Amino acid sequence: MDRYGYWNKILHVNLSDRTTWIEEPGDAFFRRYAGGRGLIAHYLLKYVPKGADPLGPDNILVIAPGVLTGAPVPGAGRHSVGAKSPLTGGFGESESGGYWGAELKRAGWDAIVFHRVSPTPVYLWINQGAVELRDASHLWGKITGEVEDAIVAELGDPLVRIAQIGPAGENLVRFACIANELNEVAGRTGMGAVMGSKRLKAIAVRGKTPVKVADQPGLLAIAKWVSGTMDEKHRAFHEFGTGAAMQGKSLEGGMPVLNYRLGAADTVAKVDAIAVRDQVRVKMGACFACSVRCKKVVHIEEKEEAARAAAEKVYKGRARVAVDPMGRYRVDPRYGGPEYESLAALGVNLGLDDLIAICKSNEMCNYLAMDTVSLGCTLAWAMECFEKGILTLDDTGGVPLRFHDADGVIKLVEMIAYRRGIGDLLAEGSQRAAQRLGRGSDAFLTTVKGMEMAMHDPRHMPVMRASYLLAPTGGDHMRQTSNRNGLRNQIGLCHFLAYEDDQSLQILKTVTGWDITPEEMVTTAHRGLTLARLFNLREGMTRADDRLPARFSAPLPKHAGLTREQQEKIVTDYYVEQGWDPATGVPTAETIRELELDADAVHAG
Amino acid sequence: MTVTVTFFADLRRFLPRGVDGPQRYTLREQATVDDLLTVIGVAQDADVTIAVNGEQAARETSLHDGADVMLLSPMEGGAAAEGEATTSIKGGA
Repeated sequence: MDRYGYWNKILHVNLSDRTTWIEEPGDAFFRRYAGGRGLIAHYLLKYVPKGADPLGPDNILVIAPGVLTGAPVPGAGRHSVGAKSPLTGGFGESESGGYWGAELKRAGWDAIVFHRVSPTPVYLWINQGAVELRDASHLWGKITGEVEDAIVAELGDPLVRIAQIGPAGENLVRFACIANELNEVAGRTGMGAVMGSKRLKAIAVRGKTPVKVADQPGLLAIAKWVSGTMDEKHRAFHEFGTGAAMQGKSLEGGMPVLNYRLGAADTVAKVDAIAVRDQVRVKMGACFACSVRCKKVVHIEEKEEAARAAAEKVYKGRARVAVDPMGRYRVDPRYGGPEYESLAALGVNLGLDDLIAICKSNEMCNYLAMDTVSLGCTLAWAMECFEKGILTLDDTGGVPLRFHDADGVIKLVEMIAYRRGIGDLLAEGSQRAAQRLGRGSDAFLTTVKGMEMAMHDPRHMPVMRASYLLAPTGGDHMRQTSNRNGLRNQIGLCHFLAYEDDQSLQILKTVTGWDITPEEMVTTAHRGLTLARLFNLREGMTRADDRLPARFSAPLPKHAGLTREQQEKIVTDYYVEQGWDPATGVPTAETIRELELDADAVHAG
Repeated sequence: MTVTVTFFADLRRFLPRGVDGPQRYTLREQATVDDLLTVIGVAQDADVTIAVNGEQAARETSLHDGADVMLLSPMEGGAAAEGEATTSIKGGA
């Protein structure tokens, strides 16, 4: 039969004995799991033994685009990376944009599953259908930009797309990420540490076969709708990317400030996306097939002459290159620019209004490959501990951990990536660090299930409460718990695109040719979330893990704290909605049957 | 009277195409924020955060000549889906 949107080809790689094999799971498989979370959770249940060490050989690493990834329509450039998380000990998964996922699909692959551990550093080279594990000893220890240059030179093809870990992943920093094209990251849940534990430095891909689309004119019409309604639907993203609403958030008293204590800062306008555009941005970038172009690119030079030369030679006078007036930092545009989460986590929540230093720490997080949210929150936790005398200079080896210290943050970013001094403790993430430190330091945590919450205060935003309480990955703000976003993760469609649900359905139909109903879309999202829930339960999580940290029971100046009762009600309502036991959150036998997960559930015991 | 309005984030969709920066609006005397929003074309039920001269304001807030009005959306990034409302300032602690 004709197949559209996917190839029915999943690549398995055993890094230990360097064997590879192709799985052809059949059409029903892709309709059932779609990709992303669904596919990842399926493989985690199947291959990872209960209680496995996330950084040991029994964990797997799954790269999972969705059935839409690589189709020529805005938003279809997403892929997910999954494994048992070294940060949460449960379901780990993170999404990225850019071009890499689409390139993998264009090379003829629907997903990759890495098994075991390589004895020496390697990288995987996928050239269409040809697959080769290559030595990466000479790349180990290098930052992402150097690795990108070396691999492109080695393979002799400038169009190769590379996903890779940085030094942080090699050093098993528990919130290390996987970067692709240097400026896109699968940031959350520590997937870079899992890749590092497998001694897999990079995955280089070149694909030349367009993804087959069932109804090309239908898909083109949707792409045209996005460009035609840009002003109405995507203007803020198109002009600024994320981070243009920070002043509103602060005015409403919901901005994370000084480790989520204040809710507002009068310096927000110095570091929001408007300030980025006006002061340091040179252009906007895009993901595969997307006309929204919401990715900031910033360029800062240490000296005026260098800035002038770059403006003239690189940008041909079309952009002004910023200069650090203190001559401290150069920020390389190869590494993109800070998203809202980074402006807040590396900036406002640490008491910083130094935009240049924030751009620098964001750049470093990209080339060392660490998640800016977990890193920023871990620093905020440590700074509050230091402020209260729980962490002292004796503990930190003489390194002060102070809010409002922009240059101090830059030093700490590097110390964490290389696990130097106090950086070794902080590289464990805030929850593990608090467990080791004790002394009541857990009172300042902002983690759920061990993962640091993103930069949206649930006391201010009710919509965030279920997301943080119930996302299978922990403190995740992407509202993966909802049918809309839950589905988009699996099919590989960006959350930022303002498609109505009927348009998402239309995209799914035009790409795959499936005669799919709205009800089936909801079922697919529930299936992915239920699979992830089964994995978390199997790994020992319970209802007690569906809870916000104590900090969020205390009020903000403008918003009440969240009571235990409020949280419990949200959790119970969600369990009921998903068809899970209202008391324990265990998916019922009926739900397992209805979602056709009987075979997966066998591995959930 | 004349007021100056700055649009942030998603609300920039109310700016004319190609236009940037603050816009000036002329209103009747004793006009409120609500009157201003009607002139601009912001729906009655839209989730908008309003500031007048840097202080958070309500739709009923009276305007005065020369006021600086900011219209903001507090939604961001992954939160900016489906236009769901944030809590109202009035419900705060």
